[in-house]
Amino acid sequence: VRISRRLASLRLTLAGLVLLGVAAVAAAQRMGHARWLVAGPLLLLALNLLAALVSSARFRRQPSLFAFHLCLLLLAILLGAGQLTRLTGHVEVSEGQGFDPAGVVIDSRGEWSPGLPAANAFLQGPIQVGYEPGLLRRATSSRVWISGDGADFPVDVVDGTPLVVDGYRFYVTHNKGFAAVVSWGVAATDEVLHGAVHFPSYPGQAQGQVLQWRTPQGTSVQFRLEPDSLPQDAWVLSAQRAGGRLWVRAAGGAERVVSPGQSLALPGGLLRLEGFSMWMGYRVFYDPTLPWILVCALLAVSMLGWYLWGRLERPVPAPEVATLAAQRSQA
Amino acid sequence: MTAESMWLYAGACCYLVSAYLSVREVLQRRSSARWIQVLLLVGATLIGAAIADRWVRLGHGPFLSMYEILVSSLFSLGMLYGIAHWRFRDIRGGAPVALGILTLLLLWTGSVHRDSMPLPPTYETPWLWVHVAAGKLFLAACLVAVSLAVPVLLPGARGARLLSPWAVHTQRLDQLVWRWLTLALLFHSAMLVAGAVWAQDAWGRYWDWDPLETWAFMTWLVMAGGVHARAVFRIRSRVSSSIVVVTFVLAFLTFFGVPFISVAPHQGAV
Repeated sequence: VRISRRLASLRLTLAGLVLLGVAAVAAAQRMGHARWLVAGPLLLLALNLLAALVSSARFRRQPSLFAFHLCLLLLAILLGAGQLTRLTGHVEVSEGQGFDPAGVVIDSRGEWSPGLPAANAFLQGPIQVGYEPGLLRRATSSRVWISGDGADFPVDVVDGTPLVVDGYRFYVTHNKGFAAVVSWGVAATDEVLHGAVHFPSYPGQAQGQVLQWRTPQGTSVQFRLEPDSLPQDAWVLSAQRAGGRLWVRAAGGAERVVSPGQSLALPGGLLRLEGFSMWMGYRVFYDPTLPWILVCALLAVSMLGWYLWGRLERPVPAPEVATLAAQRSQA
Repeated sequence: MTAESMWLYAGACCYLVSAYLSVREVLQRRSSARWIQVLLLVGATLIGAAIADRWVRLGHGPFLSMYEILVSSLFSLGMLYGIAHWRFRDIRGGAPVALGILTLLLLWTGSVHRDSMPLPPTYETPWLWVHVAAGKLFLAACLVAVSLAVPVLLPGARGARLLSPWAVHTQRLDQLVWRWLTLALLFHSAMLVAGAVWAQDAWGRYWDWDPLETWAFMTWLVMAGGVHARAVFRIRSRVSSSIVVVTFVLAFLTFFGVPFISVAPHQGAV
């Protein structure tokens, strides 16, 4: 009981809040292990809260205050669970291609996070991004196709509305650009490989639409794109603005231009340009605790509101009125 | 002069006169409460008309530039403080401080460019309204709290003189200050929750310790710390009032400073 009371101390609450403030500053500075720096004070506050909820008489007298702090405790537990089960990353998918989990670059991964959705969990459809004069990005629209109930159905992924597949959320981002869809015929085996090469983000890096590619046989190839000039008025970014031609330079050779449907013999094989498309950079987010965190947070705010309801108009406690009257009479 | 400017200047005049009346009230002990309330509410309505005129012209609300944030805050703070002044007699002693802060905001508004920019696609969400409304209510509750806390910090008997027309006892004043700050804590919590939902939808993460999030969280921590500290220690009213002033300064910097010096996504630039 004594330990429980000590653990429930409000002085410990204050210490926990101060430590949380220090950890928040460290987290904002992107210091290493910031996640654990925040976790320490949160754990301390959670234990403190738990002990207080069990032992505090004030909480028993005021159910709204009890419920508010209970929600805070649940919130702390859910935030911790979220850290352990969460996955964040990013992936680029080009038009006409399916989702490839091997292409996901993982930014952070909790110890208990499950595997990514299966390959071809969705198929990328047309991508369009609106722009206003001054290169101000407006609405982004990315249509994808998902299999379900024996048929494929379209989903439009737009700003503020992610695509949700197996609990994973895919958000469109400002990162997108052109892709050249190519096939590579291996000279020695007649094997043909298909794929898309992604140029740098557009129009963010409009002046640097160049990339290096290495053929399966090890030949270094440079691709260059000259998209249509950037319009001064409102316009829509889509694959049609890719410029229609691809400049190719194999190691040590001269730069040559190919159009969709044309082929180019390179050391070790035959490169064929199938066409141009767009790629979209998605932010990938997985956290199964997300809806519960929202419910707990909304409940916490509601309970605090319930606690404060009417307190603003509550009359002055009697002893204070007496003190006030005494002061006046002295004056 | 544009219609927007005319509405704005007319509203500013109302605010300035009400600020003058609040000071005169203290100096001459002449009650002007009714006039202060009427002028504040009329002034807020006129500034609201300036916002509406700009809204119709640009096609979006006052959510982006420094000018827009200042004008919308002038509207919400004037309107909410006017209502509180009318509804709660106890807080009237803080009017010179609250209206002094509004006057400073007015002067600042007059000095900034009225630039405009298109609303980013990430702003087209109902959570924006919840987030902004909760933020405005938070700042208004904070304004009431700090208006009552500042007189306590004045040297000597000046604070008592400032509040003397309302005969508010220091102990009761401290209690009042913290009631309003706890109300501010409620609205601040709602603002953080709505902001997190919006951030999750807009950027795929509900919290990322960006400068604005960090400053807002620090404000929340100071308020929560203050509430608990009052329960633990016998804090003198001057110390208690200092915590309130620190909270208001943090909130003020979070609202009017950080979004305009940070390059984080909160600027709405992505």
